[in-house]
Formats: sequence, structure tokens, C-alpha cells
Amino acid sequence: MSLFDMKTFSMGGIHVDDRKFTHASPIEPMPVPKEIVLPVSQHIGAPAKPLVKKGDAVKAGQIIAEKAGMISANIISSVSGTVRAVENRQGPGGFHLLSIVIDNDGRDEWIAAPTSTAPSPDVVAKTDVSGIVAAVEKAGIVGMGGATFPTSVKLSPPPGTVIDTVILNGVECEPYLTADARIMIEHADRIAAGLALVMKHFSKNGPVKGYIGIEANKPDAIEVLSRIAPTYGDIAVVPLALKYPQGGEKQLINALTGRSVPSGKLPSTVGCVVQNVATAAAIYDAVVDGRPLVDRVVTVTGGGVKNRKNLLVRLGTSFASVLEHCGGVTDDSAMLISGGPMMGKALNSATVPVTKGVSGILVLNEDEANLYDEQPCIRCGRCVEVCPMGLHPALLARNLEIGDYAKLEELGILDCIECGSCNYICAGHNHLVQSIRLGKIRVNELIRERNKKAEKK
Amino acid sequence: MSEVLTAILVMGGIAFLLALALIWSSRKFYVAENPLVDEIASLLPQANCGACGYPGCSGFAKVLVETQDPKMVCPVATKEKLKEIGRLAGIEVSEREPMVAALHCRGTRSNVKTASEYVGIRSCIAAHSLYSGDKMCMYSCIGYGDCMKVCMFGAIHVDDGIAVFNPEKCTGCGMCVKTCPRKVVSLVRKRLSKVVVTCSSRDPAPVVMNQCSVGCIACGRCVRVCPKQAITVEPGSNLAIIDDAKCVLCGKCVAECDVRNAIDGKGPVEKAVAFLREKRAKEKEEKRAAALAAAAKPKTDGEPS
Repeated sequence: MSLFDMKTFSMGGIHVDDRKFTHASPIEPMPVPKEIVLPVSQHIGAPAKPLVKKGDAVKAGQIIAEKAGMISANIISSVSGTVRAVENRQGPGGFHLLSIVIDNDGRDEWIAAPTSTAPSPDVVAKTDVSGIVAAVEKAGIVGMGGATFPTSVKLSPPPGTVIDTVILNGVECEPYLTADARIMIEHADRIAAGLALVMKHFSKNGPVKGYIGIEANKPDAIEVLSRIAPTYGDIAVVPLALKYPQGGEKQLINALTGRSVPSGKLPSTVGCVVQNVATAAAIYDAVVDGRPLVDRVVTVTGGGVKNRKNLLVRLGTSFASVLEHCGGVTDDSAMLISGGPMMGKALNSATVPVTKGVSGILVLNEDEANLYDEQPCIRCGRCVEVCPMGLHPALLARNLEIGDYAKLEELGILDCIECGSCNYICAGHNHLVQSIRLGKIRVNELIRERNKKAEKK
Repeated sequence: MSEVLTAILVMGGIAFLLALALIWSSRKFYVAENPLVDEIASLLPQANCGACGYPGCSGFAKVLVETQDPKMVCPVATKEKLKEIGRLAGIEVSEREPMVAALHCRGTRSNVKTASEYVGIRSCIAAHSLYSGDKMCMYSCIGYGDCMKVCMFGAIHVDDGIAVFNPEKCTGCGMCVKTCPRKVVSLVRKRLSKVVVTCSSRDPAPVVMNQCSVGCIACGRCVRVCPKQAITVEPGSNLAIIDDAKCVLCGKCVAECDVRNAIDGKGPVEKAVAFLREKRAKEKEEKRAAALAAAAKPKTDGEPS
């Protein structure tokens, strides 16, 4: 298949230098540090409610904070040891979050030792999937691509919706990151089995088609998965042309199925469910082996890291100890980012822990950080051209500046997926995404106020 | 000469016709308005700051005349003006004590440590919604001047990384309080002196001591010296808070807080503070001298050791 025949999404998008330095380095398990910090809010939605207090002994796999509310997720202890404190600590988003600090005793005792079943189509056929939502919920699994939406909620769509397509996201369109690529190469069978389980779960209402979308810059992953996945059922592995942000949920659905998710709606309205490949592997572990989500693969990369690696890290390990394990940072390191360079968050401290949504720890050196001064917008329209959601970023930024929040809502600011394409392409180096983020806060305030007024009447 | 005359006549004619059209339209489209609205609006400060929650001074006047709600008070107007407005509108306008904005932070560049370089929109709320701006303290004034932008009275400017308030110009409208994403600004009664805790950090003492040289560490010394029990340190809050209604501006807490300097006293109270500090220093010196004398005194056998 030539590059031009490959599928991709229809609107906008940019071509970025992918810089996948760590693509060939296998996943290494990282030694568990002495101190583990687990924020109770590692997901989108309500923070979990802590179940332990200072001085309690905990074991690995124990639920230490339980989900509170509809959209929420359990927090699982990733080590055995003693709770040193339940206090506010800085999280990977930069904010202070209530966190459970555990002193690791190094014994790694499990509350219920997980089994390790080798994945095969037979295992999937034998597994009863009626308890999949409960098992996923208990294991505290959230979307591991970075959006951290609780997976159990995704697996229980509103009644009446028919899911006929389950999509696995192996796109990894963010530059630098290779965590998903390595999981696909090394754990292809777990991913395929996880996908098969999810497809089985949705097959009550008719046949379900499975897709695994992978960008063409990972030929080895495509090769392995297209060999293994079809043995698990009606699964197609689709190579996709390189274009950012293909890993966005709506973009991926569009690229693979041609369907478009309407503004403000969830993928389930067009019969699709999208999961990250790492999430699929975690679902397999939770359902078949009873293993909760206690670790994840993190890419430690960037020009500022001495030894770039893909590491299997226990949740709660601090960025500082991960970086130390990788030989530390170079003298010209300039910027620390949790996640990828396009959508990740710059941090002002390395004391934050690795949580469920941290797919990469990126240290950029001075060359890569490319810090320019902001110049006035010249209305070139490149941001409009590249916006994958069909928005007008420059106009949004302008309206935020003059404070016309009603206009912002009208322009569809809430549809923005904050992919950063406009920021990347901007000739004036304007902080468009930050403006839009701020605009979203304002518009949400406006909507809340309006709802309050409507309630009063 | 006739050309000039023609021009004057033509232009004059047009002017006359347009004047007629204006007179006609002003009669035709006349909107009857309560003259009281204009009268009240002219008494209002005309800053259109929006602190009352209505669109400008005339918007406020219109609603006031329509509803005659005695609870509607311009937070900026002086007492006399308010009385006058009340008399015109025929209602008893409730009294309001003049307020003034105070900043609860002294996180200037030299006082608080810098954590990182901030690259982005120069706006406090933008920096705050990301994380902490460039200062280490998560509770400090960010100093990108969101309050300065909303102040209609020019009472705020940013100096050395924090907002500086001019009490002369401040009218206590409270727009800065509403705008500040960190909530480090509050309104206090406008009095001759001003005593405020200049810290908002709810971090525990070791963290504060590491981040900032003038942060409140909730040691509680101010609570003990306050004669009116106006200062409280809520358990777990790690911060002293002065109840402005109870404070009598004695200055004892300001004098007591001489290590961290986290309570600020401005105005005539400064004299009292200076006096109290001197007295304390003198007492300390005397104590030290006495202790030294006791230690230097040679022990004799008869004296109990």
C-alpha cells in the first residue's frame, strides 16, 4: 500500500517531525522507589474518596480510594507498605491534589496475587464477559492515552445505543512518545485479546467490528498485530497516513469508518467506542487475570534526557526518580513536560508522580523548546486551515481578548480538543491553545450562570 | 458675488430642511423617560465599573427607579451621595461603610522564590488555570495584573511582581476581589490605619519557610497577643486571619510578628508598632543582661545551685 492510499481523517491536521527516538528500545521494568504518591484524582471526573489513613498498612492491589460518583475511578495501591500521609501534593497537571503517600516496604505483597494466563482466542472464548464492567471498575482502569476517562463508563453506554464498532487507538501521533508502539510490538496478543473481550461485551446487540488504527511510522507494530489480531475475530488492523492529531477520538473514528461525531456528542452516538491499546491490555489483565492497574509504560525521552528509555513504572513513582533512573538530565535541558510535546503540560517541578494518564516524561533541551516571543496575529489563516475540528482559533483568541464570551460559545469553542495544531503552525507564535483553554473556562462559567438563572425561573 | 450668495442660500436651505426633519423625528420618536433616572445617574460616580452588577451607572439608576429596592446600593458612591440618591428615589438607602481593597500577599520577587519561567498569556487566570505562574508559592499574588485591568479607578499597579493598591484612589467596588483567581485580595473597612495579614498561604510552615521569606507560618503569636480575639488560626488552615469587624487597630499583632513580618500595619498604627517593638527589644535586652549577670556571678558554697 503506498502512502497516498492510506486512510486518514478529512479535516485539518498537520505534519510534525515525529522524533521517535525510543522506538527500538524495549520496555524495561523500573525498580520501585521508596516513596509512592498516589493522587486521588488521576482521572476525569470526581476525585476518589480515600479509604485509608495515616499509619495504615496497605498491600499492592488494594483499593485505597474508591470511586465517588458516576464518572470516577478507584485508586489502587501499587506497592505494599505503610501510609505515611494523606495530604496535598503537586500532581502531574501542576495542581495540588489530595494524595496518598505510601512508604514502600519493598516486599511487594499482593492482596490477591494476580494470575498470568497466556492470551489466546480460546481464553477469550471461555471468559464470561458479563462481569467486565465491574472488573474494569474494580481495577481502576481509565483511558491510558492521556485523557483518563474512566473505562467502565465507556463500556456502559447509555441504554438504547447500539455499538457496532470498537476501535483501538494505536496511532500515537504525538511526537517523541513510543510507549504505545512498544506495547503493541511486545504485547500484541494481550491487546488483541483485550479488544476481543470488549467486542464480545458489545456483541449482545449484533455483530461488532474491531479496528486497530496504527500510523504508518510503526511498520513493526502493524506487522505483528495484523498477524495476531485477526485470529481473535473480526478485527482489521488499518495502517493510517501520518497526520497529527490522528489519535484524537473523533479524528480516528473519521479516519477509520468515515463517520463524523456531531458537536458536543460522544462517539457512542455513531456506534463507536474508542480505547487506547494500553487500555485494552489493561482490560485483559483485569478481566482474565484479576490484575488491577498498578503500573504503566512511560516513555522517557527528549534531547534533555541522558538515556532515553521506555519504562514500565509503578504508578506513584515520582518524575524525579524516573529521570534519575535514566541517568539524569543534560546541562542544556530547558523544559519538563508530562505527556507529549503537543498536548502535554509543562511542569515547574519534577516531584510530581507518574499517574494513570502519564504516557511520557519529556525533557526538551534549549534547541527543542523553541521559545519564541509572541508576535501580533497577521490573519494568515493557517490556524483555520489546520484545525481538525473546523474552528477559527485566531478569532477565538481575539474574542477572548475583548471579553465577548457569548460569541466564543457561538463559535463552538467547546468543540476544541486542544490538540495544539494551531499553536504549532502559528506564524506569530501566539499562545492560541492557552487562550482557548481560558475561553473554555469562561464559557463554562457563562453556561453555569445561565443554567442557574433558568433554574431560578 | 452671486456665486457666494447662491452657495449660502443652497447650504442654508439644506440646513433648514434637515433641521425640520430633526424636529419632526425628535417629536415622532420621543421616548418618555423618567427624569429621575437621569438625575440619579448624575449623582452616581459615572465610572461604569459594574461593581453593582448592573450595566453601568445609568443601568443601575434605571433599575433603582423601577424597583425602588432599598437593598440596591452603589458600592462606590460616598455616604452623602447615597443619602441624596435615597431622598430622590424616595427610599431609605441602607448605610454602607466605605471599604478598601487589601492584598494578602507580599510575594515580591525578592521575597518569594521563583520556580520556573512562565511562557504564555500574561494573565493571572491563564497562569493560574495552568498551574502556579512562575512563583513557587501556590497561594501568592501572580502579578500579571488582572486586577489592574478591571480597576476603573486606576488604583492598582503591578510592581516587582505583585499588585500594589493605592488606598486614596480605591473606592472599594470589589471588582479586583471578584477577578483575582488566587483570592488574595479582600475588602477591609476604610479606616485611618490598616492592619492586614499579608499572606494567603495555606501550606504548612516548613513549605512556607522554604518558599517565601515573609509568609505566615501560623505560629499563633498574634492570636495570643490580640486583646479582642480578632485573630484566628483555624486548625489545619495554616494561616492567621484577622476579623476586620473585631480589629481595633492596636498594632500588637504587627509588633509581635517581627520574625516573618506577615502582618502589615499602615497609617497611624505604625507609631504604636514602633513603640511596642522598641519596648519588646528593651525587655529582651534586659532579660539577656540579667541572664548574663546570673551566669557570670561566681557560685558560692552557701548558695543553692
